[in-house]
Amino acid sequence: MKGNIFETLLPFFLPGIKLTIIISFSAILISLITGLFLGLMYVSKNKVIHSIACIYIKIFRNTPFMVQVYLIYFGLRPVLGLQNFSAAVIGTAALALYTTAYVAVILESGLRSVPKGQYESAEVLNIPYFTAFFRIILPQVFTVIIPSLTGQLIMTVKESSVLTVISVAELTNKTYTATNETAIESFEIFIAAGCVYWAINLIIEIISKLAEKRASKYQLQGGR
Amino acid sequence: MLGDNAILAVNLGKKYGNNEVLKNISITVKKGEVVCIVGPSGSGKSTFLRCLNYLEKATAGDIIYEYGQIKGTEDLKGSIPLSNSRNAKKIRKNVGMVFQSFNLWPHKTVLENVTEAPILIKKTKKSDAHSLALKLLEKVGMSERKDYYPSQLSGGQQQRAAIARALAMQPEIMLFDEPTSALDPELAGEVLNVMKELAQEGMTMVIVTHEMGFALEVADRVIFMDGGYVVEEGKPESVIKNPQTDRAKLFFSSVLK
Repeated sequence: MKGNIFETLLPFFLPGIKLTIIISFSAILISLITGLFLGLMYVSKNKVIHSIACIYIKIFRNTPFMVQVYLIYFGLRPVLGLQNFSAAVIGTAALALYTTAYVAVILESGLRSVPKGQYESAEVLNIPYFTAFFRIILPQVFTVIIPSLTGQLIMTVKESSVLTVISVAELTNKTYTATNETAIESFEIFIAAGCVYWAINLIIEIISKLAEKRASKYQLQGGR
Repeated sequence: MLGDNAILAVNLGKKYGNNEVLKNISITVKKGEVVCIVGPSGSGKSTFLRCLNYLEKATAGDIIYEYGQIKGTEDLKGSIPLSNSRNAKKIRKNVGMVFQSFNLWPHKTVLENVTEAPILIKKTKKSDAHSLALKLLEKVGMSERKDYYPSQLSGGQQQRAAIARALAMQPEIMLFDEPTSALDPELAGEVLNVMKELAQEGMTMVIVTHEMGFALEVADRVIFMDGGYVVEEGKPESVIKNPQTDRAKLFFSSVLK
């Protein structure tokens, strides 16, 4: 019987899983880069730049992702003339925009944890600010924020399920379809879908553990 | 104007809002001279030192080096002379700084800490930067620990590595901001020995310190600061052992107990 469920669900799940992975990981990659820039804007001493970042973060953190998806898909898409782009592409963009806000906030908290002296010791050696930031500050910040960043990226994978509301044929969408088009009990299908999400996030957790180990080797080698 | 002087601070002032922490300070440091600045906490001595390489922006007066000049300006928002940051770059090229909290970069080994700036800023060839770094680490007694990360080192070792990092840019002047205040006496001794050696080689040094023994032995001149003023200035023996003002008498009698 179990083998049967598997065989029946596979045609629905496989394309769903593929799309969920593509959407989530694209959104993660994009938001890591855009989040870095937004985070830099957020800690900027320039009031205008800081305010822009602040407003962005407030909007995307304080409204439900589903509302954002609707507004972007049914509002921004026609207004900006993006009808040529598929729901999947628009959905990926929405997911990236949403995650960017969180990545920026996590980065900001990490930046706060670096003592001022780290910047000053670079400054007195004439190392330019941005060089110092990328070579000296960011590597330290990265080590600190990996755990909270991981939590956020896992959220991103899970939130990708919301894209079903604009009919993106990702895993959750395909799960719904399977409940309609097969004779298998709905809850069994959803348990299976849940397991798949769990497995994807397990991969993210493993990658993050490896990255954490690598990045913090300077702290782990113990003792004075 | 400079003659054989390395640093000229003229009528230097620093205000945070209405709080005046440096008041009309004029100090001259000759080439090759070792000057120790002593005084109670909050006397402005660290602020003064940090003004010297533009980590703090003076609000009045001038700082003059042969490499360039920094002008103090009251209005921090508007009219900071553009030349200040340009000149600060030239000055920092020749003026090294050592901090109380070492400020080594924790994700880089001792060797990487020392070679970072020469390779990045001076565009020194990697192999040259390495051999220079090894020479300097040898000098501060850290060559055996060159591949250690700062977290694996004692405070004294970290500070000696930090001195090597500053020396790697081959400065002509070194500023020390309470380099041993975070260290126990034994570890402080290691660091002071390295500094003494530097002094004997003729390095121009300005040292904010609480180590009176070191000041007596190594300094050419001692400056006693209190409340943002230079209260006394002169030979170490006369300032420390035989101060003229009441304030200095009180301070030295309590620290020399």
